[in-house]
Amino acid sequence: MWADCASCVSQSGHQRSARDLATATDLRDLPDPHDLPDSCVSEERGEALGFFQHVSVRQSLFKASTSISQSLYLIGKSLRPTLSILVVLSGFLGLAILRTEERRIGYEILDLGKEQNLFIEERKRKVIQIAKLTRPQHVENVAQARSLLRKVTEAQVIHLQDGRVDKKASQASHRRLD
Amino acid sequence: MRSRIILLFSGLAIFWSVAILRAGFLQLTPNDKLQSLASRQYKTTVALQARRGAILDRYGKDLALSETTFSLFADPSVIQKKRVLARKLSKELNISFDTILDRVSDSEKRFVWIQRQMSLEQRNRIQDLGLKGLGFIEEAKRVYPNESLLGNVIGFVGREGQGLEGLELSQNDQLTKNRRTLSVRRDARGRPLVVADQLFTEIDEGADLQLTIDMDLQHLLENEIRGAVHDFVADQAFGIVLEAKTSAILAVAMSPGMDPNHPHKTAAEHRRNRIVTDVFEPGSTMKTFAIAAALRENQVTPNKKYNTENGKFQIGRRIIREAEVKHQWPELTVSEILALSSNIGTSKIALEVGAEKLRRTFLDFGFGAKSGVDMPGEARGVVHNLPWNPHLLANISFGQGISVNFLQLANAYAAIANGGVLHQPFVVLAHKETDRVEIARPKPIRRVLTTEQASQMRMMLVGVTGAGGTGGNARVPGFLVGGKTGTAQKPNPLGKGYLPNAYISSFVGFIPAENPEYVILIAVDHPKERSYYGSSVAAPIFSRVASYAVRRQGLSPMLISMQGEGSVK
Repeated sequence: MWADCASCVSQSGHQRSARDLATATDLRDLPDPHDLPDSCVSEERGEALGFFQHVSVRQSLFKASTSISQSLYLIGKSLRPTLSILVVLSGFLGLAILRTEERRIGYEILDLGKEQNLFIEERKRKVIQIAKLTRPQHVENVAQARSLLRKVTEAQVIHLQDGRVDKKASQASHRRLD
Repeated sequence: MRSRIILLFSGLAIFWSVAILRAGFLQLTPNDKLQSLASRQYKTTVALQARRGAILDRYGKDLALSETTFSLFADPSVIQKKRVLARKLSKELNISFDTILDRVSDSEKRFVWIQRQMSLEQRNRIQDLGLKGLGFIEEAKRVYPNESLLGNVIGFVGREGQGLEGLELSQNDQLTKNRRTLSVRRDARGRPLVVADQLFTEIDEGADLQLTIDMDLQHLLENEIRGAVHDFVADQAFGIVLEAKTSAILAVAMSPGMDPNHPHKTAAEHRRNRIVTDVFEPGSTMKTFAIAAALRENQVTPNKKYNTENGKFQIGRRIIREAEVKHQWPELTVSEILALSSNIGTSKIALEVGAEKLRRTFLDFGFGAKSGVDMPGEARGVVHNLPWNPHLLANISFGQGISVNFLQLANAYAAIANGGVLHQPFVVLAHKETDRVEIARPKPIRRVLTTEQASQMRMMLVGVTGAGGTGGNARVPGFLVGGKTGTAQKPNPLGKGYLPNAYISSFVGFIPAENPEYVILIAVDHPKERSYYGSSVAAPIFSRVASYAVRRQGLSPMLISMQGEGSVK
């Protein structure tokens, strides 16, 4: 597709083939396609011209990007003191927020602690209530007065041995010596 | 004009320089007074209330607990409308208007109590009134949910939470911890700022005390003891249940008792734990130890016979008689002397043993010395110093002229029951703290009898509850019971001799006799109606308590007994 064009090469002063041109990486090494002689306007020249047009776009883009980065660099350089101050200030602000948050959580813990104490006290009161309700005298009174239960007599005692009724023992319980 | 400006600026410069130098001086040079002033502005003290530990029975049931209450105080100097405040508070607190007005009337005062130990609900209601010049202080209040159950043993605390009587007094150091204070930074409104590792909810608690007491057994014993005072119109009555093998106290009852929630409603003499603080003449229950002394010295065997002089035995100018005039036995074996409670037989054995050896045996069994029980106020009792004349020796052998406390007596029987080793009785089973539990171990004091001698003593004591013995009413169907009755005359507290018709009826025994689990003592002081003999007053109570104890323990009866006959194994 690409062939060596001696005239082109000689006019441009380059000692490389068109393929070399295509693979050239440094755009600054390439000639401007408009500077190429008319003798290069052939089929191959047309292709070469298309290539050079492409290279030209890339070159202009490169220039543009260089100028942008240079501009940014300059802007950055001029903003550096301001940015430094902003960073320091935001650092301080962050610390302040952290301290405030610590305080806020501290108060929250304090409130939760009070609430926990209330629950602990409530639990204590419940334990006392349970103890009062389960005291033997109370249970006995309730059993006798409300449930109409009577105290167990020895004749009602059934002895168990290994999970079974121990008849001998139960019988012994039912008989009194005196 | 310019010179004036220069002068003004110079003046200002000098003023500020001096101020800055002074500030620097104050800041950099140490000054305790200024530092304390500064720290007072940004520091506050948080008091962490230490709660008194609970008292529990052996199964963890609550016997004493602490709850938080709120005490109301007033600052009369800031109260503007004193009459309005008094009227509103009197409605809320059920205190008379005049009383409250009187308390807040002196505007010079900065602090007066209005009401102590109120509930949370009461506090909230008073806070809702929005009265100025009032404040609350949190205080712990001791609550005894079982009311008078074990009241004399547990004791009670004062208003400031300090133990005043019973275990609350003797275990005060374990039950309480000092109030802990934390110094922390505070904000402008005085609220403490929470700092890492400082949690205000971690309330220190004293150790919980777990007792050896079985609350259900205690309840039954107290019912029986109260019933005895009522039925026999007695002055007072006592009961103890010991674990035979370790001398752990399972139940202690006395009537009249005390409700530790309202100790001031009980007479002072009934507030103390009279089981250990009071002594009495034990009477015939002491005969056991006179015979044990003879066994120790190998001077008797259970079947050795003694001439019991047909009920009248003269020592010097004095005559020893049996308890009943009708008791005119010519001779009795040692077993029979114990079973029939012969004063003459016991006196003769004691005279053979001699005062020194008898006294030594009594001391070895723990009489005349504190048992070391972890209850306060224990009395030693009295075992007279030697020499003893023969009449005193005879009297002491059957329990007169000697005084013991009830626990000493029960513990001495426990030594016989467990095979001859005297243990230190104890009621505190464990101290429970959040991070450790300290469990009390049984403490053997000394061996007082060989295993063989203890076994012989048990066998003879079983004879007391056997056919013809004085302790027949102490029997428990299906179980062998050993023990001894006692009917001791009460000494005259105002002079020599004994009070007429005043007795302490008692029974001490163990069950099951072949392998004793429980030692039970029942004593009724001055029963005035129905009967006064230990065999008919105390022994039936023993039977009921022992029967419940073995059933509760799940022990199977080992005897099949027939009506009116002996026991067949």
